[in-house]
Amino acid sequence: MMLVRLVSQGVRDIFRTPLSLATTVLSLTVVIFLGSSFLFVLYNLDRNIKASQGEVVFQIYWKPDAPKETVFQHWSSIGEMPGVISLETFTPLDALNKLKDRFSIEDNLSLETTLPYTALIYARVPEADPRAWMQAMHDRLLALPGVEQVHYDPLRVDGAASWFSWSKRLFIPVATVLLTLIALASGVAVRVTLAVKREELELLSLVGASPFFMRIPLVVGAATQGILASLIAISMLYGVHRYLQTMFQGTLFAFSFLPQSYIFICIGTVILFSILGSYISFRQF
Amino acid sequence: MIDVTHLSFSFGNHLVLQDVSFTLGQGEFAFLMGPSGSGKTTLLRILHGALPLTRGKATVAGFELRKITSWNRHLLRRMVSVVFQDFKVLPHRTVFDNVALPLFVRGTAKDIIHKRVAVVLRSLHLEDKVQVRCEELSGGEQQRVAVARAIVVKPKVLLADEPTGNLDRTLALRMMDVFRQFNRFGTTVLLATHNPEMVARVPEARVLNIQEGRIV
Repeated sequence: MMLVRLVSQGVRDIFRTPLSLATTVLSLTVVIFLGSSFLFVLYNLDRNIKASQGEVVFQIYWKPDAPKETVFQHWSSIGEMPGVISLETFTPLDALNKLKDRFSIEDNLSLETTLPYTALIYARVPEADPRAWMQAMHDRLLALPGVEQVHYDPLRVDGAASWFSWSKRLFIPVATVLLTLIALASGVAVRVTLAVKREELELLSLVGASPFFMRIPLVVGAATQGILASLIAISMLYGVHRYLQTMFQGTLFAFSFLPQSYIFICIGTVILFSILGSYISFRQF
Repeated sequence: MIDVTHLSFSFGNHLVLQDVSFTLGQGEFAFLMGPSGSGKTTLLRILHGALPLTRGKATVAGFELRKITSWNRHLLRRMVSVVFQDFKVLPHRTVFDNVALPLFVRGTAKDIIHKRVAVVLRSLHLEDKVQVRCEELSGGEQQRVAVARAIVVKPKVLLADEPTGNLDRTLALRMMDVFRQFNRFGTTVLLATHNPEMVARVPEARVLNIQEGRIV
């Protein structure tokens, strides 16, 4: 009963001083918005670079005598393989027409019988061990009945692997720094706001208030302000995301909103450090 | 109720209290007399747990002050009330809020809070100021609010630091009568003052003279 009373008092207390509440929520919102915006840009840059760097192409050649039905069956099954983005297929006739177009040949060529069925497979390599994935994919394609050769560019895989490794090394520290900045700024903002409560808390302590009696309303108040600011900041970021999405529509750069886990980490960090800020401010009472 | 043995205290290199020893039994009334800067306020602050006990031994209302931490200090403060020299009232809160505060932090029921606050405010002639904010009161009225807040919880020990300093003579003497009456109900009172007239108002009280940090 007492706990419920203290929790509701914590929420009531912050609304009793609307100006102070507005100032704290505003400063927290700015900090969270800036921090999460950087995170958003970083996340999208990383995602887009990974998408372009992580794309690889396999070229498959079937044996010239491979039955047409088998090849067509492969074409539909390959498209459903994990990691495959798209598939470009060529019948011998397609290949011939492509050659004719390419070299502007007007004559009728009758090379159909000698040309094999081929396909270009565009795939996205996974971040975890791309080289092993490429080899496995290569072996899987080569094992298809009637397939004669499978080619891919190993340098491309190395490029993807090194970018993934860099990205892993860079993204986590940069995101950690950003979260730390958000955390520190949140803590400081709450501490500054609470400085005006020092006199009241000192008095509460002098008249026999227990540490819980003093701290629970403060902690609840700080958490409430953190939640309010986080919700406003994340909503603002979502607005920016929608705007950028519209602006960059049709270009190669695609904006995605931060994943839920990132949002929860952001909000959680702000709430945690707002609470810590309030706790540290009055640890002597 | 208060047992102090060889208590010394210093702020940095400045020794404020030197080898202070005295005992006050339950229901005793004592004045701590001495000029400004003699260590009265420091002694009261130590007895209230606002300053740490570094040398010597002291027991107040059954609490050994050396064992007091920030987690159990409130238990001591629920037994010991203090009237501060600078009142320490919340200016933006009403008289009622200020006086009810110690009861509120103890989780006292609302109806009991209302009854007790009304009785105490009547005894200090503040009954018509219940809903007035403290910032609108005079210095003397604020001091009476501070006294009301200290006695509303019926503490075992009452420490008062120059509680009549801001009052005119008539009001100061009336205030002494309140302390005296309160003491008769069994509360131990230790009152710091430098005004001999106040001391004379309570003839049965003991007087502890303090000079340059020593009880003489």
